[in-house]
Amino acid sequence: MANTVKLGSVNFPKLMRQVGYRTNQVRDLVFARDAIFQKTVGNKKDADGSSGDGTGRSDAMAGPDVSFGYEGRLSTALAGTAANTAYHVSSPELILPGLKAVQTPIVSRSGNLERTGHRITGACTFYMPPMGYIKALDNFSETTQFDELETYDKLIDVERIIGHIKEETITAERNASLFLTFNKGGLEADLVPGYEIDRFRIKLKVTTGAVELFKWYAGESASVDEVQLNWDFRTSAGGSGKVTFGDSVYRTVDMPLMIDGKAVVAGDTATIYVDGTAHTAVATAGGNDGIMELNKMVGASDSELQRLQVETDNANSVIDVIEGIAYKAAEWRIESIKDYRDEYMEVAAVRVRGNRTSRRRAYG
Amino acid sequence: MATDFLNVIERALMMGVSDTINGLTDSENIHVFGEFPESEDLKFPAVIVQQTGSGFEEQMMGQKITMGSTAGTGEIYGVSYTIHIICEKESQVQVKSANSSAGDVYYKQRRLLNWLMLNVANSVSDLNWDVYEEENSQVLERHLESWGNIGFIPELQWYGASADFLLTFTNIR
Repeated sequence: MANTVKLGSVNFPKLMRQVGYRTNQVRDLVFARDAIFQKTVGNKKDADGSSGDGTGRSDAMAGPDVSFGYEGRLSTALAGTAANTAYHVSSPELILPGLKAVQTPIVSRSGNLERTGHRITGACTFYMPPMGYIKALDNFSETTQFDELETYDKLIDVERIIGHIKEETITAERNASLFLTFNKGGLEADLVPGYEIDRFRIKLKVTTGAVELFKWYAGESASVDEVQLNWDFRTSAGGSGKVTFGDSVYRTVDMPLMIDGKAVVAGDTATIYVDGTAHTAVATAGGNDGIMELNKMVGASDSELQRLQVETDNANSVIDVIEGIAYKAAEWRIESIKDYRDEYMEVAAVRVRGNRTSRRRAYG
Repeated sequence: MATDFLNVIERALMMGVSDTINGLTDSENIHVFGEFPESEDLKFPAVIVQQTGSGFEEQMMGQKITMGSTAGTGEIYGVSYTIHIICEKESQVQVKSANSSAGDVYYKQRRLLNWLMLNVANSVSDLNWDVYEEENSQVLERHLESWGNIGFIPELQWYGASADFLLTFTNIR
């Protein structure tokens, strides 16, 4: 007798909801994949071998391009061929928030004192819904670059929330900017040290207009110079152009405030995805005293992370921000993947990067 | 200013081997890689040039050394490579009749491996560095040791062989 019931199937999203109500094991992760650049290749020679003959390295070699085995910054083939960034264009950095997974830590964080210093390690297993479900998630479904989880991909978790950003909706104030302050432990006036913070995450809607900048202010008090980090999307700053978030649903923005435990420097880039489209922002300095170096923000009244400003291109924008956090991140690198087809995935991950925050504070 | 000799010579070695052995075939593609191609990038037949070590080979009195008419500080520097050849079971190369034991025939499997071992050896022996190097260098000696680990991996259906190759050059700065 035919049996149409698929016995033994796991409703993994439901399982995650149930577990998430009771424990903190269901994590809201950011999927991150580094940009993939083309390998540097050589395909030209100088047939007569003599320098100064005016032709240089212009003779084609027999056979296919020789791949030297390392990436070039712009993947320029040796000797005169045009810059070829095709691989990079078709495989840019992926930063996709909203990937939920059940985490069973084996060692969620372990600090080992080693000859070269202190190393944070850890190992865990993530249980995730099947790929078909993940590929239907916001952004994952819309970008053509995401295919499946692979080794070397990273999963960025919230290790510790350092500051909650106050929820607010503002209409056409302060030149179409929304200033958000911190609400830490229920007290808005609490000092927020910056050296512990790696990233921030907000959910926002924007009615009318497009976001041009996320501006972070720190080290600011009435008499003390302020420093500022702008994530600038405008093409004039080198970004990919202002970002339209729309007001239909809240979009998640998850961006770095420190990169690999080091302060962001002017010219660094960060990527966000909205409806599957990548938008690149460039870090620029602002304020009276240059770019914000978050690792130097130790939490004194004139040395703290102060506020976030969302700036749009339209004076009539309504900006609505919820669930904003600044957090210390845990970066998990996928080590192995077991795919139990149509049921769930078991992803083993390790963390081998991390530094002692006390040193960030001390050395700045 | 010191020249980036290790990269210049490594790239010239790879390009020289590729140009020579591909030139012996009838528009076939033998792929030369630096260490190690990602599995998605790997194409057959493959020649992989892996650098295994480098360092001072010989130092001179007062570190005085010349290259052509240029005098400077430096020493004789040595580099060792392991050159790997991998042919898949289905890899085939049509060798030009002038370079094969028969007419324009397709070489496969062990026959291809044998041909590649000999011709990679020939190419590193005869390689004219001036044609491939991006900047002037002076390679003084080159030694290809015997091909070893010649065999077949049944799980992958790969034929392969490896040989160590050493060279020395004038490291002038």
